[in-house]
Amino acid sequence: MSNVQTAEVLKVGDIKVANTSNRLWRMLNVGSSLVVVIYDRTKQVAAAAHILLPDSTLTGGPAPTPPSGEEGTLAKFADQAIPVLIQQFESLGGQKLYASVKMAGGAQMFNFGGGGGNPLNIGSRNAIAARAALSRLALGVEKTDVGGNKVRNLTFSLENGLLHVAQLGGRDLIL
Amino acid sequence: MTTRLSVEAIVQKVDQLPELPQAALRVSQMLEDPEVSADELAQIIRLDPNLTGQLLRMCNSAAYGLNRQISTVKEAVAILGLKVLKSLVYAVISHTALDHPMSGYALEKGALWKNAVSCAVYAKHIAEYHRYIDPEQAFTGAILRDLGKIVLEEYVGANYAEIEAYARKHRVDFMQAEMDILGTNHTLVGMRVAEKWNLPPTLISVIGFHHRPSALPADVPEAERKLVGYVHLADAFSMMLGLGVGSDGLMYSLDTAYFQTMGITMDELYVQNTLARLLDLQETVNRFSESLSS
Repeated sequence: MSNVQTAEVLKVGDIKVANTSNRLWRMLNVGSSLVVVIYDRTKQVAAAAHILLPDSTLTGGPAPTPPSGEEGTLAKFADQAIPVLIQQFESLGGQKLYASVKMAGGAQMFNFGGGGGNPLNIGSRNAIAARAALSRLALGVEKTDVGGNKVRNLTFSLENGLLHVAQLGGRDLIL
Repeated sequence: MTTRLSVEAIVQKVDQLPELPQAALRVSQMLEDPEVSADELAQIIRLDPNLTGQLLRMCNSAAYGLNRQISTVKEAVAILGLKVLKSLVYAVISHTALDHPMSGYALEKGALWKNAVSCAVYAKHIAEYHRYIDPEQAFTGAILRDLGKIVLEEYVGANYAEIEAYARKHRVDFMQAEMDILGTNHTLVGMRVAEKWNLPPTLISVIGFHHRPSALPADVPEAERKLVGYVHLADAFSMMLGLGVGSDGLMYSLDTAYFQTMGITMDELYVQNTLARLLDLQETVNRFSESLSS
């Protein structure tokens, strides 16, 4: 039986969830934004979020409305996106017990060293905020390719849960 | 072994660049004259059906939110004004120059053009946000800022590993590494291209200093300093958002001290809020860039 894979693109701010194996998710031009994927290998349930910013409470005004998870609503902030991501993953039958979490992205400008200690280092702070939000839900991160100065193109296969990372001008790897 | 590039070699390379639409260049020069009339411009533009078509496609691309179709250049000038027409003419020049594969920077056809449009839309937004006198000028400067890459890409491609390793070893940004390995960089080459094409001095300043605004000569007027600063900031945000960014990636520095001189407090609140607003402009970027894509 053929298993033709259809590809969908996750833009910045998108959250997607699916329980079909014949699909690829592509996240292109990932700069300081961060992609988080969670995959239950026993049921082939997957969810992914493409996050722009770390903290919805740092807007200088009222916190933005959290994403509803419905098609078209943007999940810009890590602290708001991760709970919605996990809620959607579980609503489709995914179980945290069998889940692996992977992250990629979070690049930084050349002079934004010092990790998350530099307030302008959005890439590093995205990764820290996502880890913290996952930790609050009792989830750890299994594999990452985060930081550096390269833009990444990512492909996630729902068939096997592998995240392919292609760094422009850098290395290719599979998480 | 790396060949350091001489100025003569670059000038020769610039001379070999594909011809620009002559009408677009002529119109861009006419637009520098504050006395120019819409009739005069329309007469020149309509002699070139290709330029006319490109301008009208951009006007009608929905990036300008018009509620009716524009069918003539004269109508476009009447509705959008001469400043917007100038932006569109420079967009045609930028598209002609940048819409090619740039394998030296690991960019497919169209990627550098999309990056230029994203930076232009962001620069205009940032300039408007800070109430700059002429936000369209920020658009124009940003859409042309990386002209030098069209010449340098061949040399960057041939020496990429060495440039990248040098940047890491010596902890310098990609532009400085280009300079130290090749003997020049894409901002200097871009200035030569702009001079060859008789672009106005303000645009040449933006192209030359968009990575290091604090290196602008002290006698540059304040308005021009701000303009270069907005384009520098938009350039940094376009790298963070990643669209059309090549193998040089985010290997550039934000000139953070410069923003104090512009009255901008560069803190995490500013960066977060600006990035969030710029993300909302993605649809505008897509519509505008696709209006000229074949």
